[in-house]
Amino acid sequence: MKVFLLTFIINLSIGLGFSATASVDKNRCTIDDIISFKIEFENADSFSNIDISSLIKDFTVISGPSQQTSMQWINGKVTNSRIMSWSLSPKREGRLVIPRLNVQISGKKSATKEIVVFVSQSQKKETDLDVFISAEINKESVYIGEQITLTYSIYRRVECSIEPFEIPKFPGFWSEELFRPNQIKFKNIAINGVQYQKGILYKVALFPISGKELEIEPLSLKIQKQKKKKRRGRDPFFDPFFDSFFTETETKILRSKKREIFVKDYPKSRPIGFTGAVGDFKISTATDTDSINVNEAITFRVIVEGTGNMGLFTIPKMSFADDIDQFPPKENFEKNVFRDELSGKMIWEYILVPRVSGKLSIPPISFTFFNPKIEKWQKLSSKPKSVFVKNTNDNHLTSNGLTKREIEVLGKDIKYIYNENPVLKHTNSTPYNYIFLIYFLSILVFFLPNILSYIVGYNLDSMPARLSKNALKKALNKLKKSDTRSDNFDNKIIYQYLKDKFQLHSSNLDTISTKDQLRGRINDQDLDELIELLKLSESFIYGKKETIDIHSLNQKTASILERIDKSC
Amino acid sequence: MKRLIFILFISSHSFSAQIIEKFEAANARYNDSDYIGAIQLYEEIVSEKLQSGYLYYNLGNSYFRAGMIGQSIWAYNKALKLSPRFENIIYNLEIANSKIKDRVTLPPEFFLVDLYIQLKNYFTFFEWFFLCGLIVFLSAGFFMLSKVLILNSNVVRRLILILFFSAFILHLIAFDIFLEDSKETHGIIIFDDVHAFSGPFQGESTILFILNEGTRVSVLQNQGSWVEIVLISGEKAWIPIEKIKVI
Repeated sequence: MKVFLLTFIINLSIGLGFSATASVDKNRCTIDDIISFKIEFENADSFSNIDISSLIKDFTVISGPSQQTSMQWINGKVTNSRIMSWSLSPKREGRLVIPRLNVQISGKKSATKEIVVFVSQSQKKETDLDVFISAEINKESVYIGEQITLTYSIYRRVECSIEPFEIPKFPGFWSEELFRPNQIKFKNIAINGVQYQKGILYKVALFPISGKELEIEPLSLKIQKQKKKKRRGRDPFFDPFFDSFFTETETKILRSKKREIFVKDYPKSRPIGFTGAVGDFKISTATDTDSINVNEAITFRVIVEGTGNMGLFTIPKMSFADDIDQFPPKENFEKNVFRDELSGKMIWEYILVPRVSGKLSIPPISFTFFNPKIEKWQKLSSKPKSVFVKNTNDNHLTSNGLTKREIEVLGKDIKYIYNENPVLKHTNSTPYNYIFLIYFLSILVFFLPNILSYIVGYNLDSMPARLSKNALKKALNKLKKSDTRSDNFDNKIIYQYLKDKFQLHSSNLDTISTKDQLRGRINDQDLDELIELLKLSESFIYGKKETIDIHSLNQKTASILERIDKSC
Repeated sequence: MKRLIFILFISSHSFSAQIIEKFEAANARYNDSDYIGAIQLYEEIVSEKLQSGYLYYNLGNSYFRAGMIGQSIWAYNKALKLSPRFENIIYNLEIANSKIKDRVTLPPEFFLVDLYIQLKNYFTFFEWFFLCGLIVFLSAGFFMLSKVLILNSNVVRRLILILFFSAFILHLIAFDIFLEDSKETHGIIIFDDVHAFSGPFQGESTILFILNEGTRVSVLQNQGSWVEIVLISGEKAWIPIEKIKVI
């Protein structure tokens, strides 16, 4: 029964809905104080996810949310409350508002009320504090582009640990980090006779970009500070010896002071050629070589060295001659480290490719800047440079893909149109047929002898046949000639006849090889007679001229050849 | 029959006269600096499937004057294909080429290769083919004569050999040109800022590169209103078909 009643009541209370109340522990405080902010839910069955992003504008959340649940029975009545709490540190002085926060628990919505907190300036002097941070600037009124060195330092009299912090943004400035320690090193320093340990947190060079009055936002830092304990009795357990084991810490938010910067106007009117450089500079130029070949690249460097807003300005555009190809310059900044003032070397590197030979002169470059130390404009010029360009005859490709020939052509114009009447042909009317006809005719010509002999029967003789046919005639003619003219018998006539008639191949025929080759082709009697004759002629040649009558030999030869020719 | 031939003759004659008139009118417009008008007339002649190196040459000049460098390069290339020995075309094409934005310059070839390409481009394919036919005919003739007549001298034999050999070489060249023509289709980009995509659709494909007018590319294949092209440097991409004109 009791259980039933209890559940009934709880259900009833949930059914009735919940209420959310927000509260702070104090609504008047100094900027150093920490405010405890609570939201209490009555009759809620769970915690809500609360979006506190609207708080962050004016407060820093140091810790939270922490949750707490309590249930009370008073005279049988159950109160169920859940508390979420945060520790907040105000970011600025004045009237701060903790806005309405929307709460939603199991589908039901509610909202807290606004709370106004008045934050006053810190009552204590810096030196009264055990630990504080400072923002030091080296000057309060500067020209645009002039450097301000801002140093954040921490001063402490008690042990404290520093949690990682965020560097504020510097709107209106171009900032260049100068120093950021990995581990803070402390040095002893006395302020108004009080010993402090000083450590540098961050050092930055700021260059105002525009505006009249600029503000440097404070740096906030969360630290865990050791609490000083009151002396207790001489209890052995609370002896200072044990202090180091049982120290109590306190979370604190430290803020540096806001700093204001006044930006001065430049004196007089800005000179032409001023590109924003402020500081003290020197300018020089250099080339990597004194003489090169045409179409080869040289590197031309403009070096600005000094102290000032390096990286915030450029040099005036260089103008080179038309016959030099130039590529956009590469900018490089070499920073000198370990200096409070931003200094170093800025190098602009031009790649130049001369296209014609001769003396290539690079004009001097002038550079105007404002020197805030003497509060005057200064103008510096580099010395003119010259490089000797040698001619080469190679037709190298130029960098933009133009060959020399094309460069020549650029200045010319196209040729005039063709004004005669052209022979127009249909697109597909190329007379390939004629060519095929030619091929056909060629084949015809090639086989013409065969075709003719096939169709007409007339035999267009081949060369050997023709020779064979005319062999006898030729031989007889030669014999007749040798008969009338000379006293010598020439056996070459016989051999020539045999070669022509029987297509004998060997060039040096003699009686034996002739016999071998002709055996079977003419009858044996004729062959024997022929060989006899050849032998006889040989003996005639080698000396026995008197014994043989040349006439009879000729006649004999003719008769044998005629006989052979007939029999074949 | 006679009448028919007569009619055919007359009609073909009047047809060509009309074309010639058009050509002259186009030339006149060119002379009056009405380049767009000249282009219109020249293109009309082209659209009647008539062609001549000189026609394309004049068309190229008009395009050049009208500031359409891509189109003029296309026309000059067309002209060069038809009349490879007309020097003015080469000259004007060189000027047009020097005005284009993207220039892909290939490293110079070995001088023999260069010489061969020059020789190859000195004649059209038809002319090479015709030369082949002629040489084949000559060698067949000489061969036949040497067989029939007794022309067995060394001079004749060498002549026949030379003829056969040159016929062989000529056929190789002609075959090379034939292969080149049938394998590769070239085109000229005729618009500036042509986006070349990785696929034949604009939606999800990425722009690979941007082409400018006058760039010479090889056409690989068509797909709908897209063509796949390959640059001289070897990069492949798809572009809309209307951005390119095939030579």
